[in-house]
Amino acid sequence: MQTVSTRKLLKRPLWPSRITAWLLLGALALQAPARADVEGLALHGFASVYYTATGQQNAPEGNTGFKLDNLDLYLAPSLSDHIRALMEDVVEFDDWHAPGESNGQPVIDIERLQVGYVFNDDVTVWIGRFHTPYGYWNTAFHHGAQLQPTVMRPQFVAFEDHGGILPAHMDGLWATGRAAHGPGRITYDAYLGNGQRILDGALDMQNEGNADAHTAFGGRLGYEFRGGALDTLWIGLHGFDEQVDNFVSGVMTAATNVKVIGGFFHWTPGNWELLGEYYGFQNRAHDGSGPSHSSSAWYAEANYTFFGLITPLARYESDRLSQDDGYFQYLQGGKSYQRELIGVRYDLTPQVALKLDGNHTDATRDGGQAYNEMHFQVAVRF
Amino acid sequence: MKLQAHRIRYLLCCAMALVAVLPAPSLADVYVIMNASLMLTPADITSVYTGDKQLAGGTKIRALDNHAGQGEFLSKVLQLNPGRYDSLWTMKSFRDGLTPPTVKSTDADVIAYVQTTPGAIGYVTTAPPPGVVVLRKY
Repeated sequence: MQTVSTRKLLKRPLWPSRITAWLLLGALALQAPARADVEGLALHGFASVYYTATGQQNAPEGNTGFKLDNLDLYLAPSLSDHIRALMEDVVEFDDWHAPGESNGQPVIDIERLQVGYVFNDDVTVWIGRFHTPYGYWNTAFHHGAQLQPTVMRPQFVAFEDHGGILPAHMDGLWATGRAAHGPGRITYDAYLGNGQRILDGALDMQNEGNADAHTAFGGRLGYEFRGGALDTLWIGLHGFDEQVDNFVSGVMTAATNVKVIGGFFHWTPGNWELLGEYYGFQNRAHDGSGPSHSSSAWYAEANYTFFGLITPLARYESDRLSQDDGYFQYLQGGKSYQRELIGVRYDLTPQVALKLDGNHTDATRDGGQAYNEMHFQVAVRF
Repeated sequence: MKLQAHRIRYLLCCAMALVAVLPAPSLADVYVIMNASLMLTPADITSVYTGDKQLAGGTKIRALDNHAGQGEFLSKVLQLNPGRYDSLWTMKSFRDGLTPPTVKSTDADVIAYVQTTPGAIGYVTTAPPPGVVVLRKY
């Protein structure tokens, strides 16, 4: 007859088997479902929620607590052999507000509404509202939080209403495509659209017409390597030019010619992902009074994925923005900062990512705060 | 004895779960087939299934996935697992507004569609009947 302690002892070797069985069954349950027969138009999207702990004091985006990030829904119907459309709506919770104001009211944004004509595999022309093609992050990830490695975008490429200093959206015309060249291919984007203006500290892309009659134009030119030691490297230049007027309570207080030139790269050698962007500003008052003002912003990020599941990452981001520049003077996010960030991403399934990152931000150069932050995010796509 | 039975049950459970989680070994042939109206070369197959090629001589390419043979196709032709393939099309759809290949359930469904639809391309795991063009056998 076995004693209780003997039974416990004998049962002990079974524990690993039991745990393994549950883990494997759990993994089976979490396997990516096979796509069922799909006909017609599919609705896809992204959603994310997160928890933030921050040492920032009285900052409009700096509250500690759980946050509803956004619910992004998009449709990409093919309307004919040569015509396609892209429509994307986002329900988000505005957090760029003054202390004491309403906190996190839901807002529906039409993120993209664009119709394109595909001339051939190398040339597509879109009309409507689109993600402005500069750098890598803005067109690659945008509201697709599940796609991006970190919880947050680099601060200076944040959306216009979240403190960004670049026009993340554009209403206008956009030609995009690529052409085979050597072992890789040249990629290009050229666009023009309604000039932006600053309303209440945020860039406004003028969805209802170009009231200020200023045209923005810009482009991105890159090269994608195929094969060889630089396989998957995409590297290029970008720039844009426009007049941006600032309005306070309906009165124009400044007009600035904004000129930006920069570069970007994205590379996925093996399990690495390396990316970075640089923007050099040369802005000047539109009436020609005063000198031009130089400013710059950049980030570089590296991550490595183990077993296709776990991705530790690190990023450094920094901008040096002239406070004599009429453009940055009036943008709420127009203050210099630098940020060191480390984090880890775990892909629970191909559709579900858990992300944890922490950063130290120093914005004291232009009178801001130095603080630490931590974010934990659950991001899904469907 | 009872303890051994438990152990065997757990081990069986582990083995069954493992078999279900691991990808099936690639054994079957894969035939990439297309409608007779389509002008493609075998070198175009990867471009079509990764969204880089949408048109062929002005004809819209209508690519099909075959649920019954997708694992074979992805491992032999694209060298991708289903998760990576799904992610690739999510990015293509979100960034460029491309529509991923329509999914059919069986070889018969794919053959019927390819035979009758200009611009159609798909793949099957059994030798297809006359009436479709075999672009390449893997």
